Formats: sequence, C-alpha cells, structure tokens
Amino acid sequence: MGIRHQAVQWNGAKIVYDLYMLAALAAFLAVFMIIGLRPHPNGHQADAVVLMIRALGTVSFLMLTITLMIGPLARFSPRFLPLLYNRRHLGVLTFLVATAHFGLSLIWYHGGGPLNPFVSLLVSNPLYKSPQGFPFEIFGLAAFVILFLMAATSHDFWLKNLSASVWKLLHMLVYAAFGLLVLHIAYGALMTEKSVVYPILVFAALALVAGSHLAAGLREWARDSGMKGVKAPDGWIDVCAPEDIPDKRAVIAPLPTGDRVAVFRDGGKIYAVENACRHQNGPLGEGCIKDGVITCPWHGWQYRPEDGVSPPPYEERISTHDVQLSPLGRVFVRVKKNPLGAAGKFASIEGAAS
Amino acid sequence: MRRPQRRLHVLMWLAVAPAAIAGVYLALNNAPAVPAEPIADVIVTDTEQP
Repeated sequence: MGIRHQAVQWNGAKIVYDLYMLAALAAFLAVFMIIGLRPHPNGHQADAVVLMIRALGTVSFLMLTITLMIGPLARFSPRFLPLLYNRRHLGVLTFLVATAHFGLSLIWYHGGGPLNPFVSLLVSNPLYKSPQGFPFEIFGLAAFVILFLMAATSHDFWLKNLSASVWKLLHMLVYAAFGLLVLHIAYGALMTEKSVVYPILVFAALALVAGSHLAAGLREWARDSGMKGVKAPDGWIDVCAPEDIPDKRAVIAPLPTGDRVAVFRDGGKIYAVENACRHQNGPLGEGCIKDGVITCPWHGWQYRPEDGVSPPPYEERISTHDVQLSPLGRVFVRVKKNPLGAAGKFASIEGAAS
Repeated sequence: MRRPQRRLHVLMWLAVAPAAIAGVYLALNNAPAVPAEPIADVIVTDTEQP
C-alpha cells in the first residue's frame, strides 16, 4: 500500500517468484536455440540471430497469454490469487522480452541501410492493401506501443496519480494488444510455416484467453443485470441472514445504485463496506478479515471494518454502510454510503462470540 | 472492479475476439499454398559487378 517512491516493489516472495520467472525464461530460450540450431537433414542451418528473434517473439507471446489468463482464473478459483499478486512483475518482464524481440528485429532487418530503422520499418513494405503481403510488423509495432504505455505506468505512483479507474482503463488496452499480436503472428510467421501445428497453437491461445475473459465477464454482467430487481423503498436492502455470512468472510450484495456492498462478519459483529478496493478496485468481499482488518484478495491492501480506513501508517479510505438486524433476524444494509472515514453502524449478533 | 469497468471489459473482448479470429482466418486463407523457399546460397548481392 502507499505510494512511496521505489522503482520496483519487491519483497521476499516476489524475489523468489521473479527468480522462477527468469529461470523459466532462460530455459525456454536455451531449449529453443538448441533445438533450432541443430543441422537440418538437407544440410541447411538456421541463422542464430533470426532464431533468437523467433525465440524472443514466441516466449513473449506465451508470457502475455499466461499473464492474461491469470485474471479470469482468479475469478473462477481463489487458488490462483497468488499469481494475481505477482502478475505485474510478469507483465513487465513480458514487455522487456518483447523489447528485445523488437530491438533485435529492428537492427537485423532495418539497421545498416540508408534509412532510419524506424522509417524503414514503416515504408519498406508498402503492400498495405494486399491480404497476402500485408506488413505484419505494423501489428507488432502497435502492440508494442501499448505494452510500453502499460509498462511505463505500471508503478503504483501512476496508479495513485491517474486514479484506479483511469489506470484500469489504460491497462485494459492490453486486450487490444493481444489481438494485434495474434494478427502479427498470423500475417508474419504463419505465412511461411508449412505445419498446421502453429495455427492451431495460436488459435488455442486466442480461444483460451478470449473465452475465459468472456466467460468471467458475462457472469459478472449477469449478476449486474440481476441488480435491476433490487428494491430499497426505505433506503435499506435485505441482504441475508447473519448465519449466511461465514466468520471473517463476507457476502457481496448488489445495490440499486449499481455498486456492490461487502457485508463482513467478524465474530459477533457485522460490518458493511463498499466492495471496491481503493488500489485497483479489487473485490474486497472476496477477501477476508485478517488480524482484525479487511484484506483485499488481489494485493493485500487492508482497511478497518468499522470506519474503512487503512491501519497506520497508511491513509487509504473506503466508504462504510450502516448495518442493522431486523426483528426477524435479517441483516439490512443502508444503501447510502457514509462519508469517507466515517464509522458505520454495525450490528451485533446476540450470543455469538465476538 | 466497478460496474462500468466490468461492462467495458466484456465489450472489449466482444470486439477483440471476433476481429482477431477474422484476421487469422483471412490471413490463413490468403497464405501462399507453398511457402517461399529460402534464398539459395549461390545468390549473392553484395559483391561488385564484373
């Protein structure tokens, strides 16, 4: 939490995770090069630089595919949440590998000539109207620009200054970048390959990423559509019975405003807070109460359940909602948020351990 | 995520996925039946003309 300046935010777990990533990357490149440099039966040997360009492009696409799979997987199963916690470093490493692919390609194919390599990249193939010879590099260049913007603004400093909503909007461009990379491969490498394995692999990556995102997104859309039926004539909504909320966990309830509220139970007390974390709008209600504070499942940001304020030295705040128990033993939550930092009214369950 | 972001997330994929599938389909349909052969070693272009 917080926005203290630090170029890369590391801790022990992230260092171990990064070392695993680097080891896997090195292993992939080594195996790719060893297999690719074996002499061909007809005596032809692949060029090492061209092979390295292919290896870097392949592994960066694979890394982006894995990065994009983490979000929907974490939506479907909390077992994948640790990957979400470390996703930003994987994304930045993907950008660095893509930069190596882009830089080496630029030098190898467009360097050394009379034209500036960047100009050469744009004008060397003018077949923009040809479906067969279309300059596939343009798709890759557009995707690279998006990845650059994302990597440049990946630090929490930018998240804080752009606001979570704008930052998230900017980073959703990665979906367009993925589509552009699929086209980059289709109009580039797939045009010269004889084997059907490569188109199948690209289609599989596209189907996995797009399918899982759409499945997770449409499920949320259906939940949002269900909110239309929520009525709160007196400004309060009936959420559930107290025993429906597992201890230290929450039930997420829709509000007529379109927002969601997370109703937590901590022993004998029931609290309600807005469901969006201040950091990246993560679903707080899918987190838990740890050491007395609500902990976001995405990156571990924490808030006190009684007033929605992060424990010192942090200062982030989320809104609380008032809670009351009806005589029939139902948990009611007030639709109107309390001002930021203001303590909400909580409900006590008689006889429950607090 | 908040509701506008959730909506945008779905809408973006509804745009990106069909566009990518159509692009790949078009590319594969227009791929040469026989991929270009590598340039023969005997062909050189960086020597002076006799």
